[in-house]
Amino acid sequence: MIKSLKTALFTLAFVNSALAQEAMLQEKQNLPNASSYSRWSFGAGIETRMLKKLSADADYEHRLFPSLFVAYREKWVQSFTEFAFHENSQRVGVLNIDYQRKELRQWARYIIRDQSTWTPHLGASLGLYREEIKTRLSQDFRADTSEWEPTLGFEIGAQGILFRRMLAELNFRALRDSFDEKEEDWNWSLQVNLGYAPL
Amino acid sequence: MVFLRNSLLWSLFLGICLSCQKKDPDQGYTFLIPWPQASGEYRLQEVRLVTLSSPFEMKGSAAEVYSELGFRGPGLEGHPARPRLTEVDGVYVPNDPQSALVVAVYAHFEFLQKMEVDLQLPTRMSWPRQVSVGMPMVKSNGQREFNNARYFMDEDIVAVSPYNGEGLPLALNAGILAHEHFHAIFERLFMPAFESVEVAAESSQRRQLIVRAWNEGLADFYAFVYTQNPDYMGDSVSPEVRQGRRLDRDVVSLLTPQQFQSDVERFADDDQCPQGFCLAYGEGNKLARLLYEIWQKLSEADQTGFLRELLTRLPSASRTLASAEEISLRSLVPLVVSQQVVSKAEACKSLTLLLGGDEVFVSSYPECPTEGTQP
Repeated sequence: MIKSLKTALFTLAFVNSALAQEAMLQEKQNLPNASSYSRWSFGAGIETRMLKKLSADADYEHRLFPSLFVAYREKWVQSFTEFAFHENSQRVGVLNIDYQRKELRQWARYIIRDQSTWTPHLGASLGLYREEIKTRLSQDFRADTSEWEPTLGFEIGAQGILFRRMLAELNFRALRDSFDEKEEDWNWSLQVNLGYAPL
Repeated sequence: MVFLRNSLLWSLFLGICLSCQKKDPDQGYTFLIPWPQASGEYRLQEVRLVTLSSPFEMKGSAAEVYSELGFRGPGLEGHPARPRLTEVDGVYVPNDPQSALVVAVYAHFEFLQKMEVDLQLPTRMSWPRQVSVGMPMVKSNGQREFNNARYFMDEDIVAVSPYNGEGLPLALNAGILAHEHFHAIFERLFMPAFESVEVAAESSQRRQLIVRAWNEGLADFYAFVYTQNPDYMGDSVSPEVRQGRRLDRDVVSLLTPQQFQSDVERFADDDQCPQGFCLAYGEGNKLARLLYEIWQKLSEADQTGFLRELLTRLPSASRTLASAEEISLRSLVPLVVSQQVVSKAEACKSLTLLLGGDEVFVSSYPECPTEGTQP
């Protein structure tokens, strides 16, 4: 967890550096008026998701979700399509469990304002996830794959433009897989994206 | 923009509807967990549990299972474990080993509860039981403890320490859980009367060890009853411990008071056997082997009667022994194992061997001859 936060903070520090800010301001000056603005972008990101331990109220473990995205902005609204992936393998004695989760999320973002170095936004998403579990007990093995299930999320974040066509994003997210049966809490996450805007 | 907004609203509505399908908890929930087979081997098996109100919280009428929690005050700090599960075709599959452990522990306590209810065992047990899996514990030398399970009588909690071995984790081992659960039964049936009598400090430690031996021996037998596996510890423990706790070995004589005292003194400063507790396991197992042999020779109906009688006799045995000036390892046997059961199982020879041919105790069994046995 600490390592991931350090990585995120390092990235933040990097994109906030004087050089980056200068590049952003220059880029902003070259941009058309937001009300007539449309742009494609794509890139990759990493998300660190906080999950409560099984019995604890305030003790968390984290999972890393690398992701790929493609986004299209039209004026004050952005469509952000994201594919994220996580896997881990854990063993206790003769019991070994490999867990894999794939997510496809469609975010709808509202750009709050477009006048500063950073462009803040609010977003909501609906997506699908699928889990695959491989359980091994000594020589006994079984693989299970779930159906694609719905997942929901909200975010607040900001996007900046670096070095002409490069994008950087930082998002705080609240994510949840269902509303009732799991009776789960919201999972919180911090996500960083780096992308390229060709048009 | 309108298209985006409408898509989002419809998608949210659809998602909420899809995720709001409730299941009927009365039907129970099925989990994929490691489970003991008739052969004693553990395999992945779909196990149906009927006492949980939600599959995502290990809290029900059988147990409250906690994960990696320590004590805070009189109880555990935190809430019952919420395992990470994925539902696949109506079966809940644990996403990680710790989730599998807490589900398996709950399952065994549900099955223990069912066994006690079905067999009408007079255990005086209070349900739900509290169990902590992966509890951080410290050994007497200050080091972190792994690969052990304990019953904390003051808190009435069964705790399983983290497992770092290569075999079956203790929290998955049905026999070890049943063994620890029996300590809670012993605490209810035997200890209240026995502890009500004050004894001189010098004999207190010896009495404590003797009672511990009975407790451990009966717990070994109870573990066998639940698992029907005389090698119930399996590869969860070291090969030496496993061999030492098997029940399908020949019955041998319990130590005489003199031998016992001598061994207690010998082990007094042994770190591997603090305060001579290892003696309690070894001597207790001798008692368990006799009970196992009797069980094997009885019919199914008589087996249940035998177990019920054993538990029924514990409180009165406790009262008798509490008021006795001196007790020995052999004192409990005539009080809980009846002549009728010994005769049915044709276990006179083993019984006499266990009692070392000691006439004081063997005479409680008029149908068992004492001639030819070695004191």
